Amino acid sequence: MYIKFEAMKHWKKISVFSSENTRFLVAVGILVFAFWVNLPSKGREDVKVIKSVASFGAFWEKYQPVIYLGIDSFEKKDILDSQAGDAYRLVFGARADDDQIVEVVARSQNGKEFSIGKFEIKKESDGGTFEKIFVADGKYQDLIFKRNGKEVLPESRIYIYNVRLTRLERVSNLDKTIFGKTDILNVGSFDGDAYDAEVLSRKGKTVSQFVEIEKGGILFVDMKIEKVGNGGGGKYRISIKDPSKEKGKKKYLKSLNFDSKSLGKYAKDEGLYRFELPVYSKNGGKYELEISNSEVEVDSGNYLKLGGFGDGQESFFNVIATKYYEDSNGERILTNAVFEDLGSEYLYCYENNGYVTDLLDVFESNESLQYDWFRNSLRNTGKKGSFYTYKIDTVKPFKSFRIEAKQLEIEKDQIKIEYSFDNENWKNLTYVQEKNGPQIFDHSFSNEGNHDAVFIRVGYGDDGSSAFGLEKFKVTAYISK
Amino acid sequence: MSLMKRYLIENFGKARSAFKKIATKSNWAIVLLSLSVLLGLYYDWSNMDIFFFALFIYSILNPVDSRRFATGGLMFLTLTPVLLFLNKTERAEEFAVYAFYLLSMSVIFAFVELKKEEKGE
Repeated sequence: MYIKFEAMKHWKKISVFSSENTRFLVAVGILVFAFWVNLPSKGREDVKVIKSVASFGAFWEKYQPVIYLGIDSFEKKDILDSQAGDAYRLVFGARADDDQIVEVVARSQNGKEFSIGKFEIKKESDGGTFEKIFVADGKYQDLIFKRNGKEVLPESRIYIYNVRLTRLERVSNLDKTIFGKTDILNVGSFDGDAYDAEVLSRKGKTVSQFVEIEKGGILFVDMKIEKVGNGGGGKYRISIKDPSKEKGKKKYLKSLNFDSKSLGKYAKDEGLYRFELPVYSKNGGKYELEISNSEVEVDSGNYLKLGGFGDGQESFFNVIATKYYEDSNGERILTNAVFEDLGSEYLYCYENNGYVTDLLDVFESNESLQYDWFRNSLRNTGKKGSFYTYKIDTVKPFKSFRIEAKQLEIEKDQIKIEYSFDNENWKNLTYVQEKNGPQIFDHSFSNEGNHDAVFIRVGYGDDGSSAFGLEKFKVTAYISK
Repeated sequence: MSLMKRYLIENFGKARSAFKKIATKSNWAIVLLSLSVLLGLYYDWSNMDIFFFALFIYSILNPVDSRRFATGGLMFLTLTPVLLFLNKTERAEEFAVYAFYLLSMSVIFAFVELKKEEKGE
């Protein structure tokens, strides 16, 4: 009886309080409701299921600043088509010449801006991949990357590349995105001959040094060169050799000839020259770098004086090498591949970069495969049996798989593209082709077995042409959860 | 232990009376209004959305004549076709949303006023 009386007393107090402060309680209730309703939609599946992916900014833009002195933002128009409540994943690569903060905003037609996020880009790293999941609060079309309030120095350049925007079905309980990335490394420490700057002033000299690199490959070889007199007449040769091979052609993996007159076209900086010598190294290992003047007429007044790299200037060469990454199964993640969680399924995408690192994404090929710097594409010699193959590892068995490709226009060649699940039994892809136009391939298929890898072989079409390749190569796969 | 208990009771009393002094209705209103703005900032709402939400909270705490909201709403509504005519579709859409906000508030507060009149307050 006493307890009941006490409870009634409290109830009376509460009811008096609430009748005196109704307005405050309603306001608090609305605030709490607004907070709850705006929480990331945990468990809410009300976002429309539309699969769409937009991407821009090729990998090579890693080397082209988009934000620099006088230019404080970089924008891409009409990349979004959002409605309020639409969920997206933004992924992009960025690097900067000094520590910077970049703000990414979405902009509507009338200039209304929606901040997607601010990203800290550190100077030390050779680019990082940034990811942000967001829910748009309205209609937006454009995506803008802005420098966020930092003193602008001439060297404050920001590079944005591989931008990717994916519509998501939900924003919670998503797995971490797996990115295929390639680190660019400077390899400046060598063992080899002692440093002698004037070595090339003497006739018939070959200077070599050894370098050890990880799984990946060599992209460029830098040298410090000072032209003395006319630099000598004839062709110098820079090569990368495989020291495990005794002699013969196979020992030379890549060579480049240049004369002292055309040295300027390799200039990277004052006195620094960059030579493109891409060598793919599946397992890493030791390589021999070599410069030779055996075909050059030199004397003590006309030669190339070599500068040194390293603390004691002990190296003639500095190598820009790449290192690639593998997933937990030890499978190579292709340089530009993305494996992302859309909510009810995964999406795997790979597209060629249009950069020399595309060489690293090739599973196997005959030896004549090279990177065409003029066409920004892989190119192989047009002869019988010439091919290159990609292995697309979708991590888990895929549901559907799409291959899109556009032939590289070199003469009137024909190519064939085939796919296989075992690298043995091949199926041909059909194509469409306008008169004098490139072959266009677009083929989709579903998984009839339990395959988690597809081999795609690009081959010579037996048509008597000199070379073949693909201008565009893209695969998209949806994978069940 | 008893000393500690006494110290706590005495200070709790002091704190309570100090809190009672600060916790006036107008201060609570300021706190709730600030919270509404902070909520909007936290969720990255647009400035106008924050403004309308804060206005809504303010109007609950300090009743405003519902006809004022109706007037504002109708003004936005009138401007909408003009903007559409000028091909400013995005702006027109925004104005239509603001008109909707204000007219909704007007209806809510008109309903409250009606209830009050019925009670004879």
